[in-house]
Amino acid sequence: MIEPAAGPRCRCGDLALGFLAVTVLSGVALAPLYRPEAALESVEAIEAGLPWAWLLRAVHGFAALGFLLATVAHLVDAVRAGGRERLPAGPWWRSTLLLPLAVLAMLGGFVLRGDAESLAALAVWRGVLETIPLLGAPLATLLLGPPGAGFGAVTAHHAGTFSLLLWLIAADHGRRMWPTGRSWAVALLSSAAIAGVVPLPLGPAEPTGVGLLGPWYLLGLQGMLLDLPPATAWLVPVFLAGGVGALAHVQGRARTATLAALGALLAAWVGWTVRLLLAGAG
Amino acid sequence: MATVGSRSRREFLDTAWRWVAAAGAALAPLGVLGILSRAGGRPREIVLDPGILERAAREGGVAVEGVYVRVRDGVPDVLSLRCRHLGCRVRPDPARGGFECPCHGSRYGLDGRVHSGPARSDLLRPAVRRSGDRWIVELGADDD
Repeated sequence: MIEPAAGPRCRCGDLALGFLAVTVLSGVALAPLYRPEAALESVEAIEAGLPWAWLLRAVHGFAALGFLLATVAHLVDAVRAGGRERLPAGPWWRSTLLLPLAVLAMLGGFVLRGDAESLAALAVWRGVLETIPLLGAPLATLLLGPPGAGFGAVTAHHAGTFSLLLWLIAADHGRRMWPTGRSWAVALLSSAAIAGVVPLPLGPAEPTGVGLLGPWYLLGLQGMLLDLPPATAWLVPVFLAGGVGALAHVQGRARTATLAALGALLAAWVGWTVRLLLAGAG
Repeated sequence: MATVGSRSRREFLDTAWRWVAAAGAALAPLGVLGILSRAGGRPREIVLDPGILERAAREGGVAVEGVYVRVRDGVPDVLSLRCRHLGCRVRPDPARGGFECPCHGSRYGLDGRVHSGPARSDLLRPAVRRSGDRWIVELGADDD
């Protein structure tokens, strides 16, 4: 085992588990209020018709965001500190699934709003999946349900499949089922504090005069779709996850080259985010 | 001999179970794919009553449940509003004429022909049939 590189190491992993716990528990509390067959109406009722439900939804959304950011920070910290020597290849590869699963879970949450942006995101999600050779159409049906079937399948995977897998992998990775008390407190208090001052967006049912934007963390992919073939939207995440996974096996120059390739992909992601915003969402 | 026979039987059962498990593992994905392939989108019908057609004729065209309806010589002329790029719903653009996709900016003419990408194909024209004083739009999974 090689000692980590010098420098401060954040406790982002445990903090991520704290955010995940807050996300899941607030989601469990929200679930009875959500109706997939009347998605937008039920979210509007959560926002305006039920006492404190808006705060619960906002805590859910910002805790999920906290989980994503803490997981990214933990990954960067682990790579910087030479985490490949500390984690065997198997657990490392399993852990690389955390980020894609988190993004899928959050995209599911975005879609479940049922407004114009979320309907467009659902259509694009399906369209992108269908470009995967052989498996695309069945996979789209498995994850999103048949076309025109509403939000039932997305709800099931958002609340069940993705959440369960995230917790299992996070628990396997961290060798603990529950976060520490401090992480609980930090995750809950920071999510609630932000939720109290920043409203969670909810758009109109029909698109307005401007273009429609997907979730902010996928704007780079949306921008790439202005110029590149639709398959780019799954190839880039696959290369990103594969590159991170490959860090468990490469050393020296190969590791530097892998990190450079990952950096280039991330730079392209940021560049196309700017391109999309400048183009007014297409 | 009983031990040998017993061991032989156990080995046989062990081997048989392995083959059954292997066959099951090989067939399971095929079964799942088969079930999923049958779970594809169902065709949908939209009923255009005389009121909708009258409004379409008066206003030059109306969007109804994912299709755009105009009337030519008393017959509805229907375009699917599903963008051929990635499936977002395109919307009429009265200022420039035609249709625009709000997701990635593809543009189509009033006749549904693609003018600029990223879409590469024209909007689809679903089949229309008459039923009394109404018209029925038959949407396939790709039109919807």
